[in-house]
Amino acid sequence: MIKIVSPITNISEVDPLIDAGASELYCGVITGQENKSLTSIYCLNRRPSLFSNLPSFKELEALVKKAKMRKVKVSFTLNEFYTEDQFENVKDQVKKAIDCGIDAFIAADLGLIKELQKYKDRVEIHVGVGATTFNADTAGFYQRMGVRRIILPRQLTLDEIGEICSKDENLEFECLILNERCHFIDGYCNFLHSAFSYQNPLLNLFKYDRFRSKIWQLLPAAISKMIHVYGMKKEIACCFNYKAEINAGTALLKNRPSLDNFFNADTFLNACGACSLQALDKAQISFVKIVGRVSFKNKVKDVAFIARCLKLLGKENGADFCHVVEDIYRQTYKTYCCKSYCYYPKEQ
Amino acid sequence: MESCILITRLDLLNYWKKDYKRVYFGSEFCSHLIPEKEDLNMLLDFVQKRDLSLSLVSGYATNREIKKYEGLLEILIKRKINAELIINDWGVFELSRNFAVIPVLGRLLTRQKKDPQILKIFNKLPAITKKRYQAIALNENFYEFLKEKGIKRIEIDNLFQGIDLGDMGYDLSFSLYTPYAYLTTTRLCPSNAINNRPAKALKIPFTCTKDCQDRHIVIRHVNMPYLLILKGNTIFYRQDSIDEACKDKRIDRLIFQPSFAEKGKGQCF
Repeated sequence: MIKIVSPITNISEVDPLIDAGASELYCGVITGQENKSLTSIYCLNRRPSLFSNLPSFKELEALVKKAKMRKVKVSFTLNEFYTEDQFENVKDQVKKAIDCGIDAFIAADLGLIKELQKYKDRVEIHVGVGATTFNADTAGFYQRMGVRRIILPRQLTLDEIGEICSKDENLEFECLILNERCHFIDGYCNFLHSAFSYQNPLLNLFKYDRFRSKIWQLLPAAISKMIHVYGMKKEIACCFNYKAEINAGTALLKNRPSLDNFFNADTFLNACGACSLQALDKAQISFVKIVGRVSFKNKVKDVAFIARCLKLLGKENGADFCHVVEDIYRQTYKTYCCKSYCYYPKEQ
Repeated sequence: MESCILITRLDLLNYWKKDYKRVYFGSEFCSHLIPEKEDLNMLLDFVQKRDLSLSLVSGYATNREIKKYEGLLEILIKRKINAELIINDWGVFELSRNFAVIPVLGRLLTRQKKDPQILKIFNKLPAITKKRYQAIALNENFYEFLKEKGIKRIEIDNLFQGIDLGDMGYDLSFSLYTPYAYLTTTRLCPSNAINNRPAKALKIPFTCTKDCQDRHIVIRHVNMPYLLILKGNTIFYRQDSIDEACKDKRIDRLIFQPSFAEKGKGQCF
């Protein structure tokens, strides 16, 4: 049976997320001091905003304790690639997170994976999408590094996922199922996700202060989402509405390309792979991850949606399964599911 | 300083000059541009005749593409070519261990922070954060790993904010790509989608007419300080100035990429 891995950014979310169907939780930490002295773009876990992270290891410890009482595992995210200067901070976070009782690390940097091998009796190593596991040989490579679970990159087809998973029974495989389907390959992408906020007063207002983050969390989901999408279009280069011109040597082919539909913040944010759950189950995927540690998303609603779909596995077949999932999507999000939101499109 | 040329197709050998003592052949970004066996054989004739060195460039690969690389590596062994293999996928690296090739860490696996947007805030950043944006993601453990695996060369791109290779005394050499630095890449190829209009969603193209070989797409946005270039499935920027980067003597190899702008000759990706 596929299990749901949910993001968490606040200790108050533990019970509601587990009640909704989450089997595992994952989170990161940015402390206020770190944020102030190094700025958030130094972030060690690729979520450079305070409200995507827990504020302290003390809170992490309390969160882990609460989750363990419900027999739910917690993974700690350290999924960046680290320079020499950052590595001492990383090692420090590793020790603190282990002391808090976390069950696994989500990593991508081979240096960090090597470091985590020292603690293999106490924590599992999972590699994230940043580790770019596009084939079974790469999966084998990570397994020999002591990795227990592989989170597969977004840009694999269902057939390719099946091929990778069938090669190794000793590894667990996880796929992304909801939200934030990047247009580019996560592990090979070099776009910044937070530079522009420094210059934009509206975005800055909400991003870099814990108190302001609390106000942000009080905003209605629709308004905070609107601000978030505005921010993405202004801030994140992969969602820019680029002007484009084809250059074929000396001939400039005007009026040809429109990239509007390609780098679209809506398809990015609202991506969903729920109707592929059957195929993922068949491919021996053990876990599905709900993406997005940002707080504007209603994580509980997302978990409940996927949990409801998972209950249908084995009961509905093929096209029927998709139709029922589409219905549940419409009931949950009060909008129709759209093909361009598809995480694993069936027609490639 | 060793000079090399990077090509994906045989006809781009027109750009080869006597200064280039090494030829890079292949594509890091696109499975449709993995060289055919016949092309590799012809290239080997070219380099052997001129006593040049060869670096076979590999990209990220699905199970199907891994098999193609296996075929290319078999040719190198059969013809007793002492070549480098540019590794951009750890699965390809695993495969290469069965063959006598020299592994080099490619620029997809050498993580650098490249987004030109950083320039808008760079001067406001604390020194340690600045350094993080100039450095490559190389730490003591990763260096140990590279050493264990016999990887002694790392390939990097040229950054607008400058490159800081650190002072940890690692025994590594570096190659610099010029003038194009890659920013990001995708399997959901935008160039293919444009060629196959009407296209509303990006898809993984399993067949391709390779039209990107004859054209590139210049993309601009008011928040992006430099023009970007979409070539096939990959976005690049152009950084011509290499003097500053080359002051560091550990950068001992330059990999020249023919200009995108010259029709029919210079499109190397």
